[in-house]
Amino acid sequence: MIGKTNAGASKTGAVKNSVITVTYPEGSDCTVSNGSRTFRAPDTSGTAAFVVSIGTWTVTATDGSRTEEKSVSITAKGQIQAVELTYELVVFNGEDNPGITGGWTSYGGPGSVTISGGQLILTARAESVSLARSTRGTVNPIDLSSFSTITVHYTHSAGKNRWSLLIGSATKLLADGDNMLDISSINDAQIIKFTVEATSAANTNVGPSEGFVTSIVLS
Amino acid sequence: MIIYLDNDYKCHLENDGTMRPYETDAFDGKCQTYIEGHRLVPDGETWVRDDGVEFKGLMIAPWIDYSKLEFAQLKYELEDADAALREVGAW
Repeated sequence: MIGKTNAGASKTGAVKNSVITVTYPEGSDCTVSNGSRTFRAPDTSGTAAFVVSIGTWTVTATDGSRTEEKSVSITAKGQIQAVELTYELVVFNGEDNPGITGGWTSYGGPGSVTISGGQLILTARAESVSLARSTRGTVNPIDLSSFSTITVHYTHSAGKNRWSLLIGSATKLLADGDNMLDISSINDAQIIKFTVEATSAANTNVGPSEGFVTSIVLS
Repeated sequence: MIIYLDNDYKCHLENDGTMRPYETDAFDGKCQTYIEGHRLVPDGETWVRDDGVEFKGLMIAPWIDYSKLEFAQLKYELEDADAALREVGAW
């Protein structure tokens, strides 16, 4: 049950309240503010509901060391807006987060995954035999149940075939720059994988292919 | 294989007249439940999630809980294997 915070009862019921419902990390403080008024959740249970007026509201959760916020626009009376706040988890940002990843390894195909110069370097070598796929990934499965998006910053270095991000059945062909993949329906632990595939019958060898990853963030 | 995309990029095996065809080998060997539990955003297009986050194609992602889709696919494969074994008289 979502505990009400500032919900005042309407005597007539004629005017519907606008409500922001918030799901946030348990143990955190949660507030909503429009600049002049601030409402605070009565506990740190992880869910709250705030009765608000029309306008733009900032919803914030903080545990003292981490803060996450989202802006919400209430445009009509009776509007109910759901907001989910989760703290970011940095999997890689110039250096590995080995407590989360357990390191990086190959899941098939010639080539390697290495960390050098602040980058995760994904390589697939050309071989005389045709290869359909070459894959690298974290050693550990990572619990994705509290995240909805993974963002990867990628730069393609060499080769005609680009790398893709692969998590469960979710996949994103990586372009240069930030790449976002929707993982909101993946609610268990999965290995974060990068894979490069042959793109056609005339292009059956995945290598050589090289890509650089400089950041991986779950949010 | 040819699948059909609705205006929310959800995949379908049958066109209700409002969808567009899309050719892909991403779902080869997959059952209907698995395929229709996914969203496919073609290269060069953008899907906006309910919370306003934008996702650019090419992207494939489940919109139904992935563990349920995995279970449906496993069940389909086991039934397929069972039918094949019956056909050759294995039991």
